[in-house]
Amino acid sequence: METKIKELRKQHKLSQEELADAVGTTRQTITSIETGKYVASLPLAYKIAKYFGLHIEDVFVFDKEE
Amino acid sequence: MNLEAYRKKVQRRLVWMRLLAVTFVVVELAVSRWIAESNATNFVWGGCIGGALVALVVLAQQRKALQDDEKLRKMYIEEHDERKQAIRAKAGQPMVLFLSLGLVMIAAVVFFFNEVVAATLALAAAAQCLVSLVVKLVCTKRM
Repeated sequence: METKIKELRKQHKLSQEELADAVGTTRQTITSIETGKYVASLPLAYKIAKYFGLHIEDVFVFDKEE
Repeated sequence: MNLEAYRKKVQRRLVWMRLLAVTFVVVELAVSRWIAESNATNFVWGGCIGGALVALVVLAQQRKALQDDEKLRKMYIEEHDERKQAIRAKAGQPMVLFLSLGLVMIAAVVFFFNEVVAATLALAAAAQCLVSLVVKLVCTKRM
């Protein structure tokens, strides 16, 4: 799944570690979500979106074929 | 994140680890005192020393985390991270560990009667752990 986390992080000048800390997950998980290796669960996606003050669909791009 | 509930959980875990370490030492002492030395007693002795050491290392780690809120929070995140939980589930943990431990304990008893069967059981436990570890490594790379 494609996400805009990396762009949002850069906009907010946040490191992966800081974002992971804020949403209660590990840096490796954020890396995996950013690279599309791992699809975040709904609660984690919600936490990430909420942290940036956005809706889930603004952060995670859902591809119908997925 | 409910850190206080987690603190209590870690404290309970410490009690179990202490109990486990003491049990291993008691079994080790009992076997070396009352049973004549053989391959079987050496197997039990080695298993007990290994088990007691692992219990002590976990005990020290978790005690350290309990004294530092930041470390406890990190440990909580590591333990509850959803990606790591998914990887652990794919690798069959913790069930594989419990099954392996069960096999080793049965092997320790069987060793007193039949060494070949005991060695087979111990090898099966080791192979099980190895497969689980490989799956874990592959999943960590892929996820």
